[in-house]
Amino acid sequence: MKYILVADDEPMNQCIFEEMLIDDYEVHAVGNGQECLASIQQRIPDLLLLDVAMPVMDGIEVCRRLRADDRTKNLPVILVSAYASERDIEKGMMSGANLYVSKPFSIEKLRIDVALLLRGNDETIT
Amino acid sequence: MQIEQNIKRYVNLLVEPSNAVLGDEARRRARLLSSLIIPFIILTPIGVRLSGLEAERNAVSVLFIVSVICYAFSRTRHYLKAGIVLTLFIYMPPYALLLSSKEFGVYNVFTWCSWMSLPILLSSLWLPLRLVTTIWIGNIVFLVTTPLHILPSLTYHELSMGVMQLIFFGSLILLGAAIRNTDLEKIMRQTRELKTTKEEAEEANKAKSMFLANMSHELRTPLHGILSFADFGINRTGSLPPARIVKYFTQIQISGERLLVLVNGLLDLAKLEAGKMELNCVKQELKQIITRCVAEQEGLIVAKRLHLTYDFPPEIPEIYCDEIKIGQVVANLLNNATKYAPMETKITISINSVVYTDDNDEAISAVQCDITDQGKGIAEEELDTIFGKFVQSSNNQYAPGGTGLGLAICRELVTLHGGKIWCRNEKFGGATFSFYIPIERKS
Repeated sequence: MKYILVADDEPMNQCIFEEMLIDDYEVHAVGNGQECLASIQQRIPDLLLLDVAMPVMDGIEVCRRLRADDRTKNLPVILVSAYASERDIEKGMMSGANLYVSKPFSIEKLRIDVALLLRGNDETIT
Repeated sequence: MQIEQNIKRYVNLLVEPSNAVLGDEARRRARLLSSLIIPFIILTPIGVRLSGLEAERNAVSVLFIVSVICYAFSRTRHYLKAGIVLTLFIYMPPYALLLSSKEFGVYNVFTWCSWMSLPILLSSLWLPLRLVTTIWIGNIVFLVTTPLHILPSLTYHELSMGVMQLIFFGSLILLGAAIRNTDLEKIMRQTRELKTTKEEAEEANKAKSMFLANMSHELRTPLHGILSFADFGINRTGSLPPARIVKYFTQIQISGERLLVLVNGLLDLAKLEAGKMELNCVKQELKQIITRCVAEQEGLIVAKRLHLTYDFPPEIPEIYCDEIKIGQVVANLLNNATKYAPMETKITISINSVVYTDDNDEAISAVQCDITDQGKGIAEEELDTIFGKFVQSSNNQYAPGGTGLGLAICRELVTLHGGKIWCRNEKFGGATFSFYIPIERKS
């Protein structure tokens, strides 16, 4: 089973992600950027769902650091944020994320995106 | 690139005199007047030829060079500095040269120096004024220092001419100052004012955009909860145990309530900022308001096993306030304290009679309320900003999120009562939120 890490400071959002993915994936949720990096240090997930506005370290910075690290530079990252302006999206994509999804998002669409990104990553590895 | 730009800027400076601070009209006039120096540049060599004395010739030659340099610099923005330096360090040697010659009259020195400075004075209205002042001071210095060995050889006529010139150029300086005040100063002042206004407008615009972006974020979060859990419910009703469905509905309800609180907060804040919030003020005991708020939040306090201690001294005067609004402030602060306090810690509520000085340095009696918790405290750099809209302490990552409007509303409400609200960190952890409300009605 693929392992997906969720980083979001909002317990309700963590709950939504878990509810959405738990049937098909192994899901683990953390509450901020620093915890997210710490968790990745221990176990590299197959995909990361990353909130942008988080305390301690925001998603953009997490993404930037992941891209600078050789082990995680190809890790699929989906930024999920309630900030939805074009500038926010641009900033998010510039940090190296594979996808930027603004809240509220369509559950089905995000599930498809997750599946596609996971498949795409398999292909690049093999 | 940088060097190229710098060169361009420098060339521009040489071509355009005193730009930036001068308006078009003033710049045109300055350029016109500065050309008045040219005849003097032409006349000076003639002076050299006509002059019989070698010392005078040398002095005048130096002055000629100086005036050319002065003219060149008068076309740039830097000629104030250049002028002062030239006057002090280059005008002085000719003085010395002339002083060493006993045959030479003091009058000639005044003449050359002073008349030379006249076109510079006229050449523009602001910076050269200082230059001329420098020259004038130079003249005075000359007059004060020379008599020792030249004075005995001066005629009465020469001396009186020197003094008259001092007076003449002194009045020119005053005149220049007058022109400067009425003209250039006005332009500069207006420019400054416009700049401030523009900056303020930009700042306000930025704050507005910020507010909108934050508001959109805050609205989206609960909306996202509602939509997502509704989605789960719709798609899985048949296949899920009722407990999961109940969970979905609970989440929808929580999100809906959060949205409601947010919308109410926004409305409150909009009313407050528009100055449309009306207060129903009566004489009230703050103690009673606090007790009521504590009773309302009993549930959370008990659930977290918090120890609530009161420090209510007797004989605290009543304050003139809107009971509901101040209750809202106390409730908010108390709610923050209970929310962010770890389990089984202490919360202290104290009231005191205080006297503070307002902006007009008048002493005003007030009642102050402090609510101290033993939570994580507030990051030092956030102590001031925490009362802003949509600002939440970054130390509260595990606490249930609020709307980020509570403290902003508190600040507006307390200010409306003529009081003040602030917070500080305690030495041994935790934060204290304090506010005071004047006893008497705000005039």
